[in-house]
Amino acid sequence: MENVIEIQNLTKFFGGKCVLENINLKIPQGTAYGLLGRNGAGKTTLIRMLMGLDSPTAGTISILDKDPFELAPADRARIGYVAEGHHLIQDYKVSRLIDLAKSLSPNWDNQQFARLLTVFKFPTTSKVRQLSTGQRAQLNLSLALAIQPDILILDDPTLGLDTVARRQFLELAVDLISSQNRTVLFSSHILSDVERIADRVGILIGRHLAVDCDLEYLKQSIRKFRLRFDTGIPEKIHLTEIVRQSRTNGELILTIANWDTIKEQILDLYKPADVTEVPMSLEDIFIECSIQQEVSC
Amino acid sequence: MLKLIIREFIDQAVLFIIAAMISSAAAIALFYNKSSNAAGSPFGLLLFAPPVCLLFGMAQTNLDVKRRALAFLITLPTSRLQIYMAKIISGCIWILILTVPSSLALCQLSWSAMFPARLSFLLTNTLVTLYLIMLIWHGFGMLIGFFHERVWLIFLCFVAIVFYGVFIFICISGASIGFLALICIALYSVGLIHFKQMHT
Repeated sequence: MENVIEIQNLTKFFGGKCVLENINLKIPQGTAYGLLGRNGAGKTTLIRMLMGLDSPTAGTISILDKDPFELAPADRARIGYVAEGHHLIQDYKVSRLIDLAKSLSPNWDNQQFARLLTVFKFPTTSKVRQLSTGQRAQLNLSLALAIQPDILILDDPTLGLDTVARRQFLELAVDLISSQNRTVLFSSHILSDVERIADRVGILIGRHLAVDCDLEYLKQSIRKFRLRFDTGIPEKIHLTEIVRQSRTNGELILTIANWDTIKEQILDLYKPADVTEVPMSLEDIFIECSIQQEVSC
Repeated sequence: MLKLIIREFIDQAVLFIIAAMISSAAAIALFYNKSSNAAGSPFGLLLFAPPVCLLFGMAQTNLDVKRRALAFLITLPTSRLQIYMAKIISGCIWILILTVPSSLALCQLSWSAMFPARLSFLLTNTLVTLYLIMLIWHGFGMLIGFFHERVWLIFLCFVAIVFYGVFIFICISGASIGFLALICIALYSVGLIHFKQMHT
């Protein structure tokens, strides 16, 4: 399948501070990609560079086979974008902003936009600055969806939405992705949203893209075990790809990546008296991965 | 592109109205003041035009930078070149609104017997020079307006003041139209290069 987004050896410095280091990422067409990371991990920076709003210090980015800074209007018409914080022109009336977006978008879908208006119900006669954060988010999402994009880039799109609006947006997003083979890249702090939409996830940890795989594979491959030993906890467990280990009340808790039968046999060699697998949600996996020590740049 | 130009008109509506009012007032004053003193008006404009055009150019870009309109526009199906060209075109139209009525009044005066023949001959040259000067300062204003950090703005305004003195001296000494056109193109190009690479 054709990659609509390709990032190679991307590094970004802000002043003297390294924010992203050697990021490599390929997103095939039709993928719903969830980008995760703690605050300040570089998610927004990465997305802004994809949109051509920031330039990389080193490395290359291509979106629809073009440098984001060189995208022609026709290419832009294929990309819908919702910025974190919803940067709309504050002193415009909502109707004027909609007219501006509509007049510049060749693929503008009036029916889709009307449908979104009935779902979100934001006032069109007010000025943008008079809208609540949630309403601005809804307006921004509606503008991005109405242009019928091939690629939808959403930077924390549900930030500021109440539970009902968030659910409505998610249903629209799922509908959009499944019906038209569109590519969606989105970052979110609400991992249940990511779990609901994404079929592939990337986790930014310590300036690196530490995880980049299918969501199902990630869930299958990262396992957490609680091990109890009669003869005391071993000093060291000789296993590769231990994401995290902790010792509490005579128990050893291990989180291991790329779990397979060989690792299972090695673990058996330590003769644990009891092994209990702890079920992990995406949120648990994210937390386990994020607590890892950062690698210096 | 037309939509972007219209957006500029609406956003800068107050400045367009002010330009039309000043221009009409100047034209009326010139039309009724049929004395040889009117021949000096282009030189008065030479002193008055640079700061006005600089401020208009700055208003066009700095307003968009401050309210993050550029960050929004760039994500729409348009290009930075189109956004920038829309600003230049609307700037040119604003300059024409500001100068054409008084220029026509001056031309009308030049055909009358009151106007010195030598100045009549130079009038076209003088007006073209004046338009170029206004475009140069408009381009310079747009470039300055892209900088949102106050330190940069103050520094570049200081540079503009210094440049203003030097510029007036060059113009009075007799700068060629080609030279002025070159400065104009250079300033707009620098502005475009900066805008194409700037983080919004």
